[in-house]
Amino acid sequence: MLWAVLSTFVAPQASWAQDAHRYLGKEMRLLEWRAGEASTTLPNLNASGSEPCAEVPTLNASLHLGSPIWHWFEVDLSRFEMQGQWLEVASAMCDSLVCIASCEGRELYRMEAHGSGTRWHQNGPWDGSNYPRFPMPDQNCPGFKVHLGVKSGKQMVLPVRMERPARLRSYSLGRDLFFAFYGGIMMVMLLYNLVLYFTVKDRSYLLYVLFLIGVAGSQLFLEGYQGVLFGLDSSTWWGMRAVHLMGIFSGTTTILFVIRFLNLKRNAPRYLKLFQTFLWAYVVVVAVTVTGRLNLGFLLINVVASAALLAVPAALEVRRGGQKSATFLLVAFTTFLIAVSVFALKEFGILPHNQWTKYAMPVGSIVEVVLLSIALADRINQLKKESSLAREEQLKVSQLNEKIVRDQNQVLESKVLERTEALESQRDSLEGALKELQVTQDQLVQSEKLASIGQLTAGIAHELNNPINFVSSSAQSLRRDFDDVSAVVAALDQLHGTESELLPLVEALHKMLKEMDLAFTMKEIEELLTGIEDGAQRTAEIVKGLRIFSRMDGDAAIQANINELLESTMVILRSSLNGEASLVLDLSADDTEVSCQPGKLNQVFMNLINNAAQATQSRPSAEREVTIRTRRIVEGGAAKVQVAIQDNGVGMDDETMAQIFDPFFTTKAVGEGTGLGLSIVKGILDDHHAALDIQSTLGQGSTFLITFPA
Amino acid sequence: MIHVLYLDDEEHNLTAFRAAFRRDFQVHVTTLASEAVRMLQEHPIEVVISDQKMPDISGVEFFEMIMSDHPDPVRMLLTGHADIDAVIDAINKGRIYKYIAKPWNELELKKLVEEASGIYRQRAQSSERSASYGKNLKAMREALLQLRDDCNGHPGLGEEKAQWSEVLSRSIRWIEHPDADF
Repeated sequence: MLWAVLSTFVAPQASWAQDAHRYLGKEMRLLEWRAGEASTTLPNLNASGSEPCAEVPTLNASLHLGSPIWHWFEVDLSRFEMQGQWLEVASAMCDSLVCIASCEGRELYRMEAHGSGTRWHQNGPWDGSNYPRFPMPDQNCPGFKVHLGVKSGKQMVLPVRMERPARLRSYSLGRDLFFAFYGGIMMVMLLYNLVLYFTVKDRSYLLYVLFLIGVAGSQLFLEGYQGVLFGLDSSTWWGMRAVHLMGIFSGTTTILFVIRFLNLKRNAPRYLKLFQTFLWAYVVVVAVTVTGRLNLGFLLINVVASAALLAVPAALEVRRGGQKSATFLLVAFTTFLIAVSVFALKEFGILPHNQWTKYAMPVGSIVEVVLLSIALADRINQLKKESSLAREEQLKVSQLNEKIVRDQNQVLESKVLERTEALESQRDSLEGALKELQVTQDQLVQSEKLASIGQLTAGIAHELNNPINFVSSSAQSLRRDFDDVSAVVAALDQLHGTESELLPLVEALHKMLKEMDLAFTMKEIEELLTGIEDGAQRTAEIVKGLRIFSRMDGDAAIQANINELLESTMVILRSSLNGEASLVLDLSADDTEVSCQPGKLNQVFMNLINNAAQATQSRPSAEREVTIRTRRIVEGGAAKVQVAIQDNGVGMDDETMAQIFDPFFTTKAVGEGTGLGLSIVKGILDDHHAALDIQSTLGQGSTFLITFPA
Repeated sequence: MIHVLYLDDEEHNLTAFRAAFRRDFQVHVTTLASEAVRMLQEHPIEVVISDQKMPDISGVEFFEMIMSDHPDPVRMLLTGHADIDAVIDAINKGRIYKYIAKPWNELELKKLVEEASGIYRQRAQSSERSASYGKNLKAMREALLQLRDDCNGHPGLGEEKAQWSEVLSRSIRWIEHPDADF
């Protein structure tokens, strides 16, 4: 399209299409080529060249490895009308030109032009134009010849033509217009992408801009516009190297852009390595150029620029990797490479030098940059799409998260509810278990209490049995004795009347008395009565002891005498411990009253004394001894009552001593004890704020010392 | 009259016992085991009653003690309350005839003592009888031996002599070994 536009505007004035045949290569013969300076080594003007050149001759750089060479051509213009014509070398590539006009071997004049790819300095109206131009003589000379000396170290073509100034101006204008358009397009792309760079802040755009400057700059500089545009004089250091440096810049930025665009680091690391190698190669080229080997530098630039070829397989690989935008780069570079190939083939003289081949490269570069710009735009879109996709994804994810959180909250709530219910039911069951436990404990405590009551009743039964036995038995015997005595009394009652009457009665009475042994009977009666009295007293005592002992009812603390409590306990224990151990009472004469629950204390005493008696069973029965001692003491300024229960039994080791208060701990055989006795004792004593100290030595016995606050 | 021995650490029980049974039995009472042993030696005691729970010696222990020297008197245990261990001991070790719980029933106790005495006398009678039976057998053996000697020395008995001697020898052997075949 661009091409069409250009053709429409430029072609009528410039007549591009028709000027292809006007090049004078067929009239030119190469006389010689050699290194050296033109002024000192002018050719022999009479010498004849060999074969005529091609329409557009080619200067071969490969033959002399880029060092500058003078090529001398003989141009035969004898067939042409020369009046008002100018000879133009339509290339900006050569370093210097010398044009010598001669007529039949006689030099008419010579003109020189200097400058490589920049403004040409020459005499006459064309000074400063891109292409060097030389005026032709007015008169026709039959042997007129032009010798053209071209100094160049580059591979290039030498399009030479002869035109009138108006036509040359038209050509020039067309060319300028083309490159103005070209520059304009490039500028648009540049600004557009620069704006994008500042908007998107993607470094790809900056690299693209630099790449674009490189591409456009190279094209413009190759056509010698650096002088027109930037005033770069070929005589200056920079001016001499402008094309090279621009070429290096272009190659470098191209590589950087490709690396960035294709993201080779991730997508094709081995190509990245290759491109980096080329970047290093450019460093070498820069060195070569800077040190002044300009033509070698130019050659190397062209060689290294082949790196751009690598962009094609790299893009292919990246595209295979799924990067769609690589297609754009692939197409863009392929197009540009085709254009470059066309240019190169033209420079080597393989393709004809015409407007199409001449402008193939700038046109190709336009296509390239436009495509790449589109690719970048596509990238923006993709980025946008990706970011919007990402946003959507994020939104989705966040919605999902929200949903999950909501669901989780619900689940959590239900779980909390469940857990709460479970906990509540657990608490209920725990409460139930606790109640059950309490009941069980109560039962156990009760059973311990019952055990002591059982012992109590057994003891009391035995204690009561003897007195009841002899009281009841004695009563019966006493009745019989009483009967005997009654009989005697009755007999005595009969004793009245006369002496003679009395005598047989007295004898009978005497006999009766002798028979029944009244003295013995009386003594027996005495004994029996004593027994009955004794029995009655003992029974009364037992009942009293029982009453004191069994005050298990009230929990209220009352003032009670410890001695009395111990004595009542003894009543019970004496019988139940009968034979098990001898009990030694050592009761204090002092007041031993304490505030206590007597029933519970009796339980304590009975338990401890029982244990003490049982502990002595390992000894022979005569040695078994349990001592119960009470004392009133003053400790820390306070009156206290101490009860010591001491046995000479087996004693305890430390391990046993540490456990004796643990509920259910017992040293007795299964079924013989609940293991609760001492834990209940401890509980009761704690309730009484009484201290319990235990001293025990294995094999020697234990002492339980209880200290009550008085 | 039946001789009864009663051992108890409770003096009043002894008094009551004696008062209750002195009219029916010859009663010997004591609080001391050693005294009881002496009484067993001195009197023809037929029935021994002992309290189980005593400070120095238990009833069962007392019975065990007298078993070897005085196996014949019938033993009865008297105790305040049922103590199963004591009862088992009494039966296994003390070989007692009856177990009596306090307070005793006078009539019952009297009957038990009489029964025990009956057993004692029966035993004594049978042992007397077996002693006299043995004595008779011995005398019979002597007589048979005498007869056999006489028979062997009798000149008048011809062929029958050996037959008689044989029968007498068999009789004597049978008296000596009653389990063997005649």
